[in-house]
Amino acid sequence: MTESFSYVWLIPFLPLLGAFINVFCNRNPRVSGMIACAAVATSFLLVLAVFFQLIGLPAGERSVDVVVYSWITTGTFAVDVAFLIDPLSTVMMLVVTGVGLLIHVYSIGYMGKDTCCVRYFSYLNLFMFAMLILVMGNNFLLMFVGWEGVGLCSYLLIGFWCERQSAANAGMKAFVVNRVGDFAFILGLLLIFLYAGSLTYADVFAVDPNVLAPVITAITLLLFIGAMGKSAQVPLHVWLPDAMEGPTPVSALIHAATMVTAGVYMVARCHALFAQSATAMTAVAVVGAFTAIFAAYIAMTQYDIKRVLAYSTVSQLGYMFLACGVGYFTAGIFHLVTHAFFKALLFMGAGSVIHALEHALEKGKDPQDLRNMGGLSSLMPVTYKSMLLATLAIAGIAPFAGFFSKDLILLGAFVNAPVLWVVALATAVMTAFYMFRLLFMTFGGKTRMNPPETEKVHESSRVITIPLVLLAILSTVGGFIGIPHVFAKGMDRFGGFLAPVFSGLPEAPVPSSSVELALMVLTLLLAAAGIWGAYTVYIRGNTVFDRLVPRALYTLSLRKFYVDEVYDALIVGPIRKIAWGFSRIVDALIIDGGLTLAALTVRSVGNVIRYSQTGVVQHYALIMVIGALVVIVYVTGYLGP
Amino acid sequence: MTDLPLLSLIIWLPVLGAILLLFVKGDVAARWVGFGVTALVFILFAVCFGAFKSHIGDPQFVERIPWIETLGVSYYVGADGISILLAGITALMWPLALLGTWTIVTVRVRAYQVFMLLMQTTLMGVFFSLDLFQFFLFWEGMLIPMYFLIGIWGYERSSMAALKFFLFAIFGSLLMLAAVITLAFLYHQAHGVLTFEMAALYQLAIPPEVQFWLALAFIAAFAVKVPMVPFHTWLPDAIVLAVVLVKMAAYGFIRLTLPMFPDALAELAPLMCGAAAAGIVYGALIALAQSDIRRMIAYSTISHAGFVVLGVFALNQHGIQGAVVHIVSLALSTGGLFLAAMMLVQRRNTWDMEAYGGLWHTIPVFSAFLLIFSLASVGLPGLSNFVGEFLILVGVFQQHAAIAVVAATGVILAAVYMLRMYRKVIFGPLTRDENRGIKDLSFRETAVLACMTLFIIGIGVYPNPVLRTMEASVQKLLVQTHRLAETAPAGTSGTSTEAASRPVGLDATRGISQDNR
Repeated sequence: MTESFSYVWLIPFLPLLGAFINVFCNRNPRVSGMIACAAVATSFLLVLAVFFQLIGLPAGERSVDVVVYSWITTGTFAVDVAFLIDPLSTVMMLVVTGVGLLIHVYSIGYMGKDTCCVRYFSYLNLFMFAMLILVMGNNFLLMFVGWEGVGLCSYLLIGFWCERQSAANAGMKAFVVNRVGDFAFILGLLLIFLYAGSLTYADVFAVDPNVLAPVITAITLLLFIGAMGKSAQVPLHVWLPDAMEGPTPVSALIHAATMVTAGVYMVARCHALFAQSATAMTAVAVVGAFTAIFAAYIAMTQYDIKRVLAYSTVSQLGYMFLACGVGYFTAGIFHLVTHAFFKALLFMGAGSVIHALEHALEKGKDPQDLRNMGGLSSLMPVTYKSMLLATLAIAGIAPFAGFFSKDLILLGAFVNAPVLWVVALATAVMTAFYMFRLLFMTFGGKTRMNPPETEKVHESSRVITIPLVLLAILSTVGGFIGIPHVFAKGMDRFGGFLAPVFSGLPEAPVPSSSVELALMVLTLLLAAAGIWGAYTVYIRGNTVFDRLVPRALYTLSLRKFYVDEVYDALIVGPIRKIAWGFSRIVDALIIDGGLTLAALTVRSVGNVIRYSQTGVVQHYALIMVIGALVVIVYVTGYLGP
Repeated sequence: MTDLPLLSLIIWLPVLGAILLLFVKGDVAARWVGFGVTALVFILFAVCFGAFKSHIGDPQFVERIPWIETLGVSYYVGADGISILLAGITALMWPLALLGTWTIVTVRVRAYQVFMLLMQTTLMGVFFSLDLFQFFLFWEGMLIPMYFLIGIWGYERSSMAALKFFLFAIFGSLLMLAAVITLAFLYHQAHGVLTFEMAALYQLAIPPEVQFWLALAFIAAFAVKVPMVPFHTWLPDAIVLAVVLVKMAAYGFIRLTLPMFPDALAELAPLMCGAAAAGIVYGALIALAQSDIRRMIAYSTISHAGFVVLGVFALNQHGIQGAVVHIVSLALSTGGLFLAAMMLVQRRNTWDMEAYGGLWHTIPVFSAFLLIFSLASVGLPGLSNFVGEFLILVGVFQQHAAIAVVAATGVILAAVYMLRMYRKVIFGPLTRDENRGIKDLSFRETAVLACMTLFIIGIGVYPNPVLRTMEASVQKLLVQTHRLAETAPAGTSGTSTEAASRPVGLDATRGISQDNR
């Protein structure tokens, strides 16, 4: 059994090897992209092999542990470097290597001319290694290795253009905010080990719920805080928009398609634990729903094309958590997959636009600002068409990929938490609005560029557009892997594939077909309303919203609810002051000052006593006699006759 | 092979090297002698490590020669799993440090080599001693090379640092000496013979109230050198010694405090854990406010030393094994960090972070190494520090969950102060002209740092060889501790009784010393 999967260690190892070759053996920028792509392509092929091998097994046996070696062993604590091959990890591996491969290819076009592209491709491959470790590990500690590893790569890639102060700051912010989540994650692991006596998934999930009962809510909430950090959920979302300082393919790979979904994967992986705590499930659902609407609200007014997409990612991740929180783990993972398709595409499309405008725009004009764009549809037709498909997908228009996954989430929310369903619906309207706002401002209407600038804009090269087209196809038809039961029984292949993983969960109530259809129609109508709103404002130039919406609401969105400012005032500033206070007052003045005083006292006492060393033997003899007398008197307690 | 007195060779070879240095002329020759001798020690150690049987918990390669027979003192050396690891990291770091500072130390080169060699001897002596008296001699002997090394390094405030350090050290040593003599005396009282053999002293049933004071005396001696807050202020000015002393003092805790004073530990261990956790946060917070690279590294060392103490006083296998791994990792990561920083300072002659910035493109190889050492220090999984830190947290969490939580906040703060330093020194725009012409690492420097990096990654990815080496010894240590705890007189295990008996303990100790007189 295990033998047949013994090759899986190659899947993460090959990208690591690619990074290694690029760092130590390669100085040629042109070759570096090839090496990186070859490594990831081979991994992708191996993942495909795993996939086909897995579906060849009976459904009940599709969970295989592959132990590579024993990692840390002390007494009762034993953790292996071992991989878990099951439908869930296979789905994640397919997404990571598949979308990852396309982004690697795209990067050759996007970053090929950068002087540091060898370094870039090494980081990218290193990231693939860490991400694959994260999703393939069969225990919590190995997941944590991947978890921190992707965080490191994210740090390095956000700060890739590190000579820019803003990029260096953004990288550090990402790492530190993630560390707050990791802190909770570590505590969760410690609690798990204390109560379950193991960190291996199979052991932990098999522990009697009664044993875990006293701490299960604490464990799951701590793990979820970890997930919130990595997946940028409110209030730990602040790093993701800043992460857009990194190269755009990085935003597509790490900050849209793969790394940020790690939190969702973790919650889905631990569904057996989360299902034991109603409190934790509610927390996941509520945080998810709130993040969804909160980020969507901010996304509606941003002008930086990548920031709109960043907040959109935060919002969509909220949807995934909402799905997990209402027990629809399959829906969460389904949305993770479709989102990887269309959000990667949106970022890569945005990258294509930015790439074109960088060379075209006059100096000083921001190529990421939507206000400097417009009318690009005829100039960049391939980019435009593929982005249009992605936008339709994210807006949830049938039959594009996002429709199916989002519909399943909304259904889950409707059945289990009607209030959150309303929130999710409202988010769907906002999503349609801000995405079409982005599309219209970029490609629609008249251009806001000068004629000489317009002339310089041209479609990107094939190495960029081919990945776009492939992802556009996936964004269009990707949803058909999970067709709802209403339309065709037994066609939910995605759900069927994942079913063995989530088989332990209680059966979710299913509403009648008519209700389900009505919900779909309602969702579609609302999405259409959002698109209509965007069309009215940004194509027709109607100012009706300007008059309707109070200024304060608009500013709140534009200023991102002042979250960064609040954090600076309440957390960053005080910590800095405390550190300064400890350093200058407690440490330097009180402790060190006190000791220095003691030291100086000793020295000066020494200086005084030095004068007693007169060198005259008679003085010494006198002192000796006095001393001896004192001792005798003290010992005998006798003061003469 | 095993016929050779390997441990004695490892201990005394550096002294021979130091004597040889007296007859050597010229800086270059002195450097080669120093490096050659330490390299030879490393090879000897490798032989020793190869022959080491990790399933045995007792000391191996034992050599014993009667020495001062009237006092029951003998020259008695041996290595168990814990001491061999600490000796190993010393054997590894010494040639690397000498090679790394090849051109950094340019004045009094010969003296530098001599004192480095003497320090190695005393360190190895501490790790291999099985006789308490001999242990104490090596422990105190170390002060001499240290005094001169601080002088040779000659940082601006080094004379004050030396004064502070020696005040602390002597204060601690006096207490330890008193405790050592008391122990031997107690043994004499019980068995009618004088001995300083550690294994014999372990078996001594000491009244709990006496234990408390003896344990305190030892703890004070070691806490100064770990260093634990608030006995740490000598360190920022004498950082060169930090890594060495952490090793030694933590070893002292493990070797002496743990097995000898089980009853006292029931009361003291939680306090020590609490103090260590406080030290972790305190050191990290202060590191956050530093703009001097050296002081930043120093305070980060104080913070990490807290982790080591925490692990030791978790009093369980995870904690102690974690602590030993962490000591080894610290030597590599903090040592690497400091060595790298010295290489940078050698080029630009300032420790001020603000004077740098934008070095990434100028000196990429250096930047990559600095990043790896910083990340190791931050505790990134896959690098060695993580293994130690995580095991320590596992160990402490089982005993005192709240303390583990406090300690774990160090994880966040470490990321902040390390990355802050890295951002200031390496990232950002290159604004100063004097940073433009900096040369990247030479082959020698690269080799030294690469060697340390290999060990950092190696232990991080595959720590089991290290863990397995000490497993049996740690188990034996714990059996020792807990068996003693069980056989201790009844009624002393409750904390309330012990708290009540504390003043009595004072009297008891006095009574003994009076009897002695």
